[in-house]
Amino acid sequence: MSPDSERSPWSDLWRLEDWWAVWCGFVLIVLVVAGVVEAVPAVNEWTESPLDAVSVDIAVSLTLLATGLAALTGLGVTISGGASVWRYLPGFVGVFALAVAAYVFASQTTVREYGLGYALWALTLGLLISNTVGTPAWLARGTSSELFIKTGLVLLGAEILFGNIVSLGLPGLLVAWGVTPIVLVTMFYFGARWLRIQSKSLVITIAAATSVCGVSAAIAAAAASRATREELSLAVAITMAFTVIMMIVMPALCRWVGMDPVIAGAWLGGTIDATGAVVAAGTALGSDAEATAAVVKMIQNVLIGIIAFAIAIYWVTVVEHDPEGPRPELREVWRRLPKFILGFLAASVIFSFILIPILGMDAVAADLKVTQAFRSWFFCIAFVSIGLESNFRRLMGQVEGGKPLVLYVVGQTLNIVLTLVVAWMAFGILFGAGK
Amino acid sequence: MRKGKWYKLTLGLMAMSAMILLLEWTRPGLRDAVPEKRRDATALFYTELEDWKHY
Repeated sequence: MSPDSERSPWSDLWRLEDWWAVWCGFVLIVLVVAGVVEAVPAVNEWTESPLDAVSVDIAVSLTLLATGLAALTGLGVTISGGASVWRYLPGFVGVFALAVAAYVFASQTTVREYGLGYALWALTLGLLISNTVGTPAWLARGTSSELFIKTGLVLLGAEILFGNIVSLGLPGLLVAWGVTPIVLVTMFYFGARWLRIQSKSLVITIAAATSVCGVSAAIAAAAASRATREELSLAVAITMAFTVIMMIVMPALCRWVGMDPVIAGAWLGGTIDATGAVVAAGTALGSDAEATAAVVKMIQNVLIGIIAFAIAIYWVTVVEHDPEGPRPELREVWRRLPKFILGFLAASVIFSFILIPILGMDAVAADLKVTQAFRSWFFCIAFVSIGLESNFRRLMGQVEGGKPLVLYVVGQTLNIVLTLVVAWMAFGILFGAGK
Repeated sequence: MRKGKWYKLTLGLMAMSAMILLLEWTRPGLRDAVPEKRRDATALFYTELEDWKHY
């Protein structure tokens, strides 16, 4: 008998990195909801001097944050991965310092306005180091990108509130949920069958980023389909580049044609990838467009968990399954299912159906600001780690003659046209909310 | 750590900083023209700042 078969299935709870992501996420959620942690430090917005970004107070708070996150993730890395915590900690400190640098770049006033968020700078800094001087061994030991991403995703689950679904009623639901699955499935078949992109994980990651909500959806889909770091990096780079273009061009187009603000808001909310960019674009068209755009995006964001769960099941039962072999048993499906998805869904259900009724929306909204800040730090250190672990040549190898770019452009075009038609029908004709 | 690659790292960091300078350079005067709360890149396309007054 192998040691694996002698192992109790319960030991997975502390041996698997996926479960550690769930524990790390829930430890932070409990600390926030219990009122132990009431704020998470962030760097200041700056305009002319980057030195304005980090004051002495913020530096002290960031040191405390780094210590807390190092202790929490250090436990996970040591127990699940068997690594030495003393070798992990210096590396984590280095990764965290680079994450702070990424935030400093992202916090410049104009950079913020263009929506060039921390993910882009974190990835660029990591890639720059790994592909020029090379990632030093001590730093590489602190790059636990999978654990960081999955913990961030569990925290993201808390922000996915089912109550948002009813905020805009049926027309909002039609725009956000009607178009998204059609675009996702069409892009998957187009990428895998027509373009014949070799990696289905890359195809579904780009499709999720395009149809749902950019970087967060890309991370969730990549983790559910076991995409490589390079595939996730490519999807994030494409989606961020086009988000900047769309957030500038689309509101200008809406104004040029004199589109109804509610229809325009629904269109922006359903198509622009990043939530922050959606709000910025909607703002330019007035408060009605801003509110509609933000709510449509939030309804769409609810789909992240459902889509990530569906992708994980599809991957286990179809993509990774030998077509000539027997159908996988339920036990096998459970064994291979990425467990962080359960933490993600649990956090969403707990916040939506337990905490909001008990604590009220205002208290939960205050808690979510803190969990969101934690989530952003986890995604930031994850992107630094991905950059530090990635090889630029391998990243370019994913480009396959521009096929991923073609997939994105075709998918986004379909998304833009379909969302416009549905937004116009739902808000303009069927329900007349825009009149 | 690879020797002789430091200049590439330095050039990369300089390029990142230059990108910020470029973004700043492309939007002169906007910061003073638009109320802080409602600033965003889309405003670049509108010469009619009347629209912003109701904020």
